[in-house]
Amino acid sequence: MTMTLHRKSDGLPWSQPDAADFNRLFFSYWERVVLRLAHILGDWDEAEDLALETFIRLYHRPPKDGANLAAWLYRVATNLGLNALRARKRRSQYENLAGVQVLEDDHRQDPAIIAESRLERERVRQVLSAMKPRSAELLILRYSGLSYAEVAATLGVAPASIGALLARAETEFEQLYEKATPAGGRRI
Amino acid sequence: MHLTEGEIRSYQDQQIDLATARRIETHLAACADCRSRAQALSERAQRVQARLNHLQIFPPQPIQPAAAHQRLMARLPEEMEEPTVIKKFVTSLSRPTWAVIALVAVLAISLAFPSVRAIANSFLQLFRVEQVRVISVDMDDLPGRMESSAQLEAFFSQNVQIEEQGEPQEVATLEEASALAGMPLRALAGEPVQYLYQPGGAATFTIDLELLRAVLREMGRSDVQLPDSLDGAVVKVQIPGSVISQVGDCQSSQRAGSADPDQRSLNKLSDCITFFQMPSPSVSAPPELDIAQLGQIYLQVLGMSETEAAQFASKVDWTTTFVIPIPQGSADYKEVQVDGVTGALLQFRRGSGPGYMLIWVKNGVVYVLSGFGNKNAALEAAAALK
Repeated sequence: MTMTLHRKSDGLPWSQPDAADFNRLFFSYWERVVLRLAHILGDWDEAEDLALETFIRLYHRPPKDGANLAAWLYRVATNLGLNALRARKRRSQYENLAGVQVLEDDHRQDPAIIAESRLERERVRQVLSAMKPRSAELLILRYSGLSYAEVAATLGVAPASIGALLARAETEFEQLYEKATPAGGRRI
Repeated sequence: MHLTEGEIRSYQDQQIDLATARRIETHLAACADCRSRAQALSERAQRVQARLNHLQIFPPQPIQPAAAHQRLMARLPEEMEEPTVIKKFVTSLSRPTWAVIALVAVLAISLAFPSVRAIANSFLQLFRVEQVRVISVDMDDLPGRMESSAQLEAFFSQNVQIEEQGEPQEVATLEEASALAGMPLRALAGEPVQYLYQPGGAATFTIDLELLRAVLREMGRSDVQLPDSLDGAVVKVQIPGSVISQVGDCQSSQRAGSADPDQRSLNKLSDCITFFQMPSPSVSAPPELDIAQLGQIYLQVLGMSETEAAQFASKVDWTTTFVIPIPQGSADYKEVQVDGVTGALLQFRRGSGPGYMLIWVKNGVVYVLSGFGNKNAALEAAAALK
């Protein structure tokens, strides 16, 4: 489903009555944008900050074509998330892990399982940050439920090419994942 | 010529047109090489999905859109104009919650109301909402999936016909609103009261079983079984016109966002009260559909386990009860006595303090009262209705 909104032609975005549109949009998408970022980053505060950044960008530079704002929001959020993930990779792994674990621990679970799934999550994030940015983006958009048509519109490519791009991204993901697996003896 | 990886992947994801799908099916049936490649691709996609699923996390606390909105407003220039009172009311509701409720209501209505106890000689059975019940559901990323579901969009565009009977209009007096709604209205205490009349409408659903199954698949719920007897069933929902009345200072409750954040907690709670009245919506559906089973499906779609859903479904009279799903963590709810009947009280936090929403059905009319404050404030406001 898409939500359309109108932009005033005199340059200032979201003037009245569009402020109401902007607010509506915010309340419609806030939760999903934060959740998507939280999945990518595993850090709640960082996810909220980047979600705010996403909406600030929407406010200042809304897309010219307002027809598919959901796709636009997801793309900006996914990009911000992946960029943050790559920046984080450059920082200390330990510092990173310490920051993440509090959020993700489900205290009802066995500590051994928590430790294992934390490792697994970190592995997946490493792989995403090591992938070609476009492939990682495609993978996240598709696996978070967007249709091929929506992914295509979001990335600005032909819908007919998504199947092939997706297959390629999955290959890349799997190869990097295997390299990142301890049994393979190498880390990314 | 063999199939490309792209063709196979699009086929597996059901993201191609029917003619292409047929062609690929025919080819796969005849080509062992492509079949084994398709198998490998499908297994790899499942592995990738499983690994990405590790990223799913539980929010450590409920997301607070209102608080986030305040933070956002503080960072944006002042040029944002204040929307009208009624628009604010709509905005002040948590939109994701209502989007989900609306979508789920559609599923609920198309699935949950029909009865086996229908009279054999009537082709269509008519039901009215007589009571509401609230369930708390862990929706996780259900809203996202629903929103982005191409199949659901297809369902709405192909199988749902909606007739609207006009635009909402602000009216000056209770009498005028009452005349438009065609029913006597209850009045909020205090003044001045603003009124908005929302004309009714009707929605007709023709159930396309294949499409519904595809929707469930896309939502990751292919475990939910839909009975074949549903196919082709036509369900019609009549939504009568409704009236929203509003009293009190409904401006400042929203304004707090752009004010000095330190002042916010010192502000006293807004006295804004919003009151919604609508004759019960009615639903007609073929009588032969299995009620308990459909209610159970509805609950499963909302994320309940099969056992939980079966247990809950057996305790609900689906012909008269509208089951409202509330995403876990977004509100507390309890049953309360209001206006001489049992109603549902939802309590949640709004931008500048605790808020309530009180829902009850009496004499064929659905009432929703919402405002700021706790349970006592809710019951006092209800008691003050004239």
